[in-house]
Amino acid sequence: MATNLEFITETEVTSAVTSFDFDNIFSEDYDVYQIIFRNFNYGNNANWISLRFLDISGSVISTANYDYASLQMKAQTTFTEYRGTGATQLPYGIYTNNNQGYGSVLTVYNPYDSGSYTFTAQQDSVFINTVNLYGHKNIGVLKIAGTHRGINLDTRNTNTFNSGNIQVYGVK
Amino acid sequence: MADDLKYGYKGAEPTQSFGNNTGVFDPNDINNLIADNKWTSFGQLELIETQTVSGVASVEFTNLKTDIYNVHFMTMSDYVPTTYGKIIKVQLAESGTYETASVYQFAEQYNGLSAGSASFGETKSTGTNSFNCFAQQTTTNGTNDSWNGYCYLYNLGDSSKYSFSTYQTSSTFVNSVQYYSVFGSSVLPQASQVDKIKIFSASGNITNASISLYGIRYS
Repeated sequence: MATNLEFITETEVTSAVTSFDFDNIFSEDYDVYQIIFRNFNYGNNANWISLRFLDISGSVISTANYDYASLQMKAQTTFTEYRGTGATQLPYGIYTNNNQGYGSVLTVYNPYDSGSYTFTAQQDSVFINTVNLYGHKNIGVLKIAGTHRGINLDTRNTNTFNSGNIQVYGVK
Repeated sequence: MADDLKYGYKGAEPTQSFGNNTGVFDPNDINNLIADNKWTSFGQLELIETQTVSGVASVEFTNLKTDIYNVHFMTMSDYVPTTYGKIIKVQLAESGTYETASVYQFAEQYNGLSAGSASFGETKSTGTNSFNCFAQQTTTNGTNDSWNGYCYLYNLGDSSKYSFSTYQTSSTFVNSVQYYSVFGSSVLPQASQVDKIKIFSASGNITNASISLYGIRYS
């Protein structure tokens, strides 16, 4: 019996889109997931994107049921805290508009368990031209005890994702 | 794939990929599919190497297998330095030569507890000579003190990307009367292929440590 990370699926952003779903990545097979984000190129240097979950039918959950707390760690200046309750999304710190890379691991707990909330923990590292290193440590919760089968990423404006890789692993 | 099936029948070969292997496989088939990264075998956190050391100047990982892995995971347990109060340094090598200049950047949050009193703060730099994986904080060698943590490393083998890390540590401090945790991010802001990692103390040797490097398959 495997006791390890188990690769589930992956996707790659290859064309400019403002929003996309990564559907059918959660199932009853795992309680905990590790999702790796790499090398996102995003057309806005100073704004965060939204992370939402997809419900059992694949629809984006955009109701005011998200709580979050975030620490933005900057190599060149004072850190900044962000927090919110009753938000309509979780903030996700993909802040890069260059091709120099990006790395992040998002851990998701109980997304497919209809009897519990869905919790997240995320940490990332990104370099922004003329600004230097940004790191983020985020925690979040979707306060809906429901079965969630995927995620949605949205730039929240007309800027687009131009590239990026996502791999999903189940934790056994 | 096996060249021929019984009774002279030979059908169209199905496409083989992770999670989608179809057919009857003999050992050679399986070996070939493994070599082509197309055989379904769970367990994608793959140990590259563990080094358990005592009384050494540094620990080096020289086979990162960056042709296989885009993301690495490194753990450290029971790190104790010979010299009290020195930070753990990590440096990356490009084309075999370690980058020792103050070109690395990091930003990290520390969370401390001593005698019931908590302390929190931020540490950061846009020009340091260490690529942080286990925090840029002083370590100690008192009774039962040790430094422990984990780190993700991104894009080490990609010559067109910068190399990044995210990390978290948990440690005892000053004869175990203080507790300390740190989380943070670091970058070597140079588009280069990294081929070695070195971990060492800012001064003195490493009394003992166990450090493991893993690759995350399909990353």
